[in-house]
Amino acid sequence: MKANVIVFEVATFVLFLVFYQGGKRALGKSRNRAFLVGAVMYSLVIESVAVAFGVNNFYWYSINSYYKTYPLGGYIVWLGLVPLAAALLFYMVSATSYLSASTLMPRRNIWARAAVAGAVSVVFYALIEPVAVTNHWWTWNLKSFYVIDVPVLGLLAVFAAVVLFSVVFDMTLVQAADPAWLKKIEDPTVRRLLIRNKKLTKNLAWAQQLEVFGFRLIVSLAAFAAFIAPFMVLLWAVANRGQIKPNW
Amino acid sequence: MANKRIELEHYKHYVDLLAEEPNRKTWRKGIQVAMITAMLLVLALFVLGTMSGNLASIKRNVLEKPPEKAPAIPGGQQIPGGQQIPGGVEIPGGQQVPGGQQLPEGVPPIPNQGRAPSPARALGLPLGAGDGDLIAQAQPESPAPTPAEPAPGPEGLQQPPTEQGTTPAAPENGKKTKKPTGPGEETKGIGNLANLANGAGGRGFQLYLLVLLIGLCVVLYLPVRKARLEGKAK
Repeated sequence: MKANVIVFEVATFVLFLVFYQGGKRALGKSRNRAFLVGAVMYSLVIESVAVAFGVNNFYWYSINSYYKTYPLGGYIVWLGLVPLAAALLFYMVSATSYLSASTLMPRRNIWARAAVAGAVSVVFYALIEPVAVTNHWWTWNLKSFYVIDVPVLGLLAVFAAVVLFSVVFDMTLVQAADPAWLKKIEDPTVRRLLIRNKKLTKNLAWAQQLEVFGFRLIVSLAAFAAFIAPFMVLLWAVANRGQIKPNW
Repeated sequence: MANKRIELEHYKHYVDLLAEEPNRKTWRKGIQVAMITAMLLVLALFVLGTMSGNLASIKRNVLEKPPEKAPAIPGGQQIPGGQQIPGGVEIPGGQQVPGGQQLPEGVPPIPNQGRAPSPARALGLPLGAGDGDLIAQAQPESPAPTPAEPAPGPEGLQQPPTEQGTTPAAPENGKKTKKPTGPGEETKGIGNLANLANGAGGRGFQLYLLVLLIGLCVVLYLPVRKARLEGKAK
């Protein structure tokens, strides 16, 4: 029996609606909304770049006659190149991991908590990925080192993305902290040009805090790319599967 | 009082921390709802994974190309029983041929994930065959009959990586062929999910999913337990 992509998508939407209610209570209304928008945008950027550069794709169903009645294939709702369900899945996994880590070790260092959140999310994706690739919910095209048809790079990327996102969220919207090294970057850029306010983050209005959050997410995306690039090269060198061409 | 009002007015655009920072009772409820929903997500993925165990055990499944769009068949067209099928027409493995015809031996099976190919393809109907066309007339002009390749054995499945959709060229009189770099038909060794799925008496994939399910449920239960204990302590 085949678990087709529509089942996955509908299940994700339904669980998301329930999860959002729990997240709203656990994080607070505004923070949970910011977490949702941030996580969806964050995963959307990463996955869109991945699809655009042929790392993976979501199009297996798109030329299948059985699913041809659906726009762009099996998935119903798309955000450009990426189905909404994939972005919502990242939100649920990252929020669950973040809430677990911050509940179990609330007084630990922010990076330690983020690392635990990243580890939990890797276990999540270790469960999700084999089911997804088996049912062609998405397909990895990348030349890399694969374990049970899942590229190790994919799991590393999940770890890095969740760690960086958790750190930025916690640092900006929960602790409202301003590390000295980050202040050096922010003062001449976002605070001077966009916010026009050099107050500490904890003294900013909520809308301004959100702007700082957005800026820090962009910086973290650059950090993500810098982290993942050497692993990409390394795993390319020891690859056990070649690349699937774009016209596959 | 007036000063207080001015102060509140001044800070009205700041985030309302009382509303934003939920009280501990609300927080406990939220943690429980979020974690139990995440457990349901994990359970749903486990069920979907278990349902697709037979797919996971197929070595070529992950790298299988998407099925082609079925050509539209004009309504009412029938292939009479006992009709001769011209030589060289490919018939996918495992298909029933009307009229009791036998499939030629050695035709390699095409993985189709349990979905039958379109009737036109199954019968070897060429594209563009219209109502009442004789099949032999509707054949494309050029193709010469190609001999059926022998079915690959278990070792034969471990083909060297090739460009997807191309067949490796035969070596020409001792010349070395260019090393192919494509994904090939399947991932090998540890990289192939089917090796896990076919292990442990064919239950390797289910066991893998079960271990992760239990591990994640334990991890997700810990925050719920902590929140409950905090609630009881108060």
